Amino acid sequence: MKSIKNSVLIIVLTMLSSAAFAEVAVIVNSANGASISKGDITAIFLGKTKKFSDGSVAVPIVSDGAITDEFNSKLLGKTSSQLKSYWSKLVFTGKANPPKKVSDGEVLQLIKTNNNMIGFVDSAAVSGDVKVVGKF
Amino acid sequence: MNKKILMAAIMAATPISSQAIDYSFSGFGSLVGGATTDGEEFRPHVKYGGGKYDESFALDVESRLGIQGTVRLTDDLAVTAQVVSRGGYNWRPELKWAYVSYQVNDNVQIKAGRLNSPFYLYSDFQDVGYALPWVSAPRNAYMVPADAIEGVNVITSFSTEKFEHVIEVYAGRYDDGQNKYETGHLDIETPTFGLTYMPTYDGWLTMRATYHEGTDLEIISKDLDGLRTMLEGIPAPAKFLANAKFKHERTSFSGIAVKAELDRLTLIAELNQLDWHTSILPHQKRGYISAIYQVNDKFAPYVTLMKNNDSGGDLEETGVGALDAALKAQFGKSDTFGWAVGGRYEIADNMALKAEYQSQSSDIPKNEQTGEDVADTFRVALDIIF
Repeated sequence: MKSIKNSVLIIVLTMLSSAAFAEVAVIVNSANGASISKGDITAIFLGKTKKFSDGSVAVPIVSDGAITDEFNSKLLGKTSSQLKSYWSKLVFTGKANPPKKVSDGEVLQLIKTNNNMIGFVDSAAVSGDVKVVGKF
Repeated sequence: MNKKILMAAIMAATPISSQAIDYSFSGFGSLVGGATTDGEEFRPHVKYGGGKYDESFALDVESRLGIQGTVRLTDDLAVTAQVVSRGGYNWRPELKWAYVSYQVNDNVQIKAGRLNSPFYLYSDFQDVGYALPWVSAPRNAYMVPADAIEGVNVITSFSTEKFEHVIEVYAGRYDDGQNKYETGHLDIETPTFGLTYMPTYDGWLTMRATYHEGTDLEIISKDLDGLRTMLEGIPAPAKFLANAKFKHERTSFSGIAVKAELDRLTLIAELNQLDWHTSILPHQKRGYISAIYQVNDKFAPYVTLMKNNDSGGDLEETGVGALDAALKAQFGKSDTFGWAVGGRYEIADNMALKAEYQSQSSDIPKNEQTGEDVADTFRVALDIIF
């Protein structure tokens, strides 16, 4: 009985810690040769640039998963409502459109098959066939 | 001319219609209700005929719904249209924007078609309540009664060391007719141009300087026509009559603004000036300063101070006492001071609830005031984007 309680406790703590300390891995297609800094990632995901440093078109995608809040706060420095407000300013002035939203499970698959895409996943979920450009 | 550009772009899109066309829709809405608490009337619209608040609670004065659609023809070429429907204008849909945009490169964007003049810091999304910290941008300083142009606009943005710079230049023609609305009687037409420079330092300090000119302005208004007929009948002095023709006017608008985002505290100040050259219409110098404090992720109260210095236009005594008093009340010098307290609360990621109380006072005695701007008003708003 005690061991069950402990297991439950450990599972709960693990879940809490993974939610609180999840590491974000920013990923691109393995064929993408551009050098991508943290500043480049921020600029691409805030719509300030539409290209990678090598001049190729950058297509950012965001997931609807829990990792998105982590990404928004660590790389973009915004809460989700601040980000919504930021995008509403750009969208309704015709300046830029927010990154396409896809389901959490689709991110890896899309990045694998598309040379221009850039996205992010929980670093624990990264597979070998995409290129990690940074962990945050 | 711009309609032709729009049509050409739409037709250019047709041959590729067999491919998947990349389009998107976005929308915004604000449900705003309010009432004055001092028995006066408050007109929140700078444009005529948009309704006003009085002692009974009203939901239709400022409430609005907007839909924007964008069709991407190529990676760089897009057509955008925005339709806004306002309670103040009986919910009649108004084509606010319809333009073709071409992204020359990361730094330069060109738009052609129906656009708005970027007079103010918050011009671009003045209707998008969700994007504003307040129930509405301070009405006193957002005072130009025309903002829709048909023309061309070029936005250049670039970075140096610690600055991001945005330069916006446009030229076109105002045709912001309000007489199409049953309740309004004012139409403004003029060729126009303007430029804006907005540098942002280190991501937190934004400065803005802007200048606009209407070069050959005509105000089409039954009320002003009536006034002129009256002045001619007296007859009023020749110079005065010349200043009351409301045609071939030159008018200019200039403004400066600062926005500082200091951790939880945001300070915003704007000073705007509208000058009518050779007209009896009053010159308006108006500003505000606002402090917004982000208490937590959800709640951000604010306080705003507003000040108007409207100097009288080129008025002369006509010798008819009642007329002189009326002219002075309508076009004379006045100073107004106001303050507002309010707050924004995030209900959801795309929804905010706001409330505001504002109070205004003028150096003109209440019984001589003609406008509907000096009042104490309470308003609540629910803003969404979708």
